[in-house]
Amino acid sequence: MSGDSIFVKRFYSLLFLSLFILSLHVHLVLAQTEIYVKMPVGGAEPMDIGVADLVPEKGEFTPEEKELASQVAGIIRDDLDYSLMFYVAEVDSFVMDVLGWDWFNLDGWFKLGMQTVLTGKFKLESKGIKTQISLFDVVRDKKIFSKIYRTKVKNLRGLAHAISDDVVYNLTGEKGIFSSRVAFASTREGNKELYICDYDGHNVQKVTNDHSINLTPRFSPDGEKLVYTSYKEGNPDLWILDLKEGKNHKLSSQMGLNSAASWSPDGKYLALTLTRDGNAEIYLINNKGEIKKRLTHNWSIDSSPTWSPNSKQIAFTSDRAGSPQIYIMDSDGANLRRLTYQLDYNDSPVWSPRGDKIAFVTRTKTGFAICTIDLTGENVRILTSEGNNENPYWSTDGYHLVFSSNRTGEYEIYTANWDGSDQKKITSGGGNYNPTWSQSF
Amino acid sequence: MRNLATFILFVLLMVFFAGCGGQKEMVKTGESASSEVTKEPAESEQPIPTGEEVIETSLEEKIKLEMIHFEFDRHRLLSEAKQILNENARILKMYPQVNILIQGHCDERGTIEYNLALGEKRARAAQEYLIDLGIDASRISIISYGKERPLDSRHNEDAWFMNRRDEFGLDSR
Repeated sequence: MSGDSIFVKRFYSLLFLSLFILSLHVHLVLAQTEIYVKMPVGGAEPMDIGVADLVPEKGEFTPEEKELASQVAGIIRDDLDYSLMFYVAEVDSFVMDVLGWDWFNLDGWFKLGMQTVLTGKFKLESKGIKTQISLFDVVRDKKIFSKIYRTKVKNLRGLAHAISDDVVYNLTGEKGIFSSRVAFASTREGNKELYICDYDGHNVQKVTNDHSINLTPRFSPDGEKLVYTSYKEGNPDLWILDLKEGKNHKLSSQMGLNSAASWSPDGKYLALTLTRDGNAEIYLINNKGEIKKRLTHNWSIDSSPTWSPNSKQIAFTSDRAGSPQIYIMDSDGANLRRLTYQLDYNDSPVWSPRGDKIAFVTRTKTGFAICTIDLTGENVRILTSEGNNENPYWSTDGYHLVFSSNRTGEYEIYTANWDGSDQKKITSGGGNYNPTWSQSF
Repeated sequence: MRNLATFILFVLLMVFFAGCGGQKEMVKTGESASSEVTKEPAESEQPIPTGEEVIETSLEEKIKLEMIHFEFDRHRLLSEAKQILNENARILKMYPQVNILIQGHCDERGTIEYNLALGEKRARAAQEYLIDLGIDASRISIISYGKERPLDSRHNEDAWFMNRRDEFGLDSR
């Protein structure tokens, strides 16, 4: 099947090549009609998908409608391209005109080698945007889903992300990541406050106003709360910010550090670092801030706990062997084992939501780099090369990482694919640290 | 900065009340603490015996506790740091009424969370050393700022050395 579609693609490449000879205009089109090829994830073959330009519900688009409709289709293409699950065909209206097809010609899409096609109609109404989307399996010639979306114009990006999430869900059964949020700490206004943005860096919002130092945010599993460490009352205490209510409250204020907290995937507990007993140890607390269990007992630094997706194990950093290394224990503290042996300074572990890898930070000759390692302790892969790179965190699909890096001279937030490809800066202006990633809302 | 100014004002007021206990009782009973404070400038215009006060008002000036530095990713006290702590302990013994807050700091290398823990280890190392030298444990509090408050924002060995430190502040808490 995939061999056939590659053949069809090549055939149409030849067709375009012959058109190229005819006019310079066609040369421009050729550049735009190249089909993306990306490294597939985990050996799975990405699906060829076409995203049609959105067309008017009736008659012609107004200039404003045309612009907005084009933005929606563009964001959907960017999202699906980012997902690593698809090869997104870039075919524009000029090609359609040359070929004499319209966007709803499924047979035409099939000849272009597509397996699935998204088509849609767009209309600007008094209350906002109305978009009707349909997704087709062009190989089997059947509709996969059809849905009407209505939203305000200012939520245009959110609309496009919601459509992309529905496409991923309907084609893979997995939740898309396009309506997810990244939270990070930033000194852009002086104090280190917390901010939230979309996964692609758009829609930045400041969410704390504590006039202090706010650190290490982590989303609750439902994405509705952030837990973080703040010095707002002097001591580094643990605070919860309810993002819906816009209110925060103190959860843990043990003497000393209350830091590096991380919610269990089932939402019942938080693992965190406390120094109340005279040394940095890892504890479990419940959602009322009550200590349920002390998990580590070692006269060294134990910090940065991260949960396995099934809540049964916790990985963390400890310098008990003389330098920071990553260890794994059961979530009751039993069955401790050391994971990293290869590099001499390893910290900041985060467990992949797919369960098979841990991302972490290692110290290299030139700085700090983001790495991944299999749970077997094998396949250490260094993903970054320039500057200092810190605080990795996974997207919920396990295919992407967000982290901070000062490779441009200033700390900014970046995202990358799981293998380190496609590193993108999503913040600007400097002073951006400590990112974390929510599930899609 | 504002905290420092508040603290100096606080120290001056404490010294004034301590040194002029008799006069304080002259303030009418029933007045709130804040009105006592507002009366302060008027009362201090009166000539006051100065001997003790001159020493006390310059407490901040007198008690200069030098900071100590550390090696990368370490919290052990170097011999130079111990000498500084010996001197700091001598000063603290001269002023038994003074409490201190030891702030542990780190250089920018390494992660935020790990450096928070490391900074606390550095603060605790100095705290324990001072206690061993006979300073009452109740007089010493500690806090870690990790790598959040560098003294030198450059990215080189000199800056990193400067930033790996314990600072000794007078504790107004």
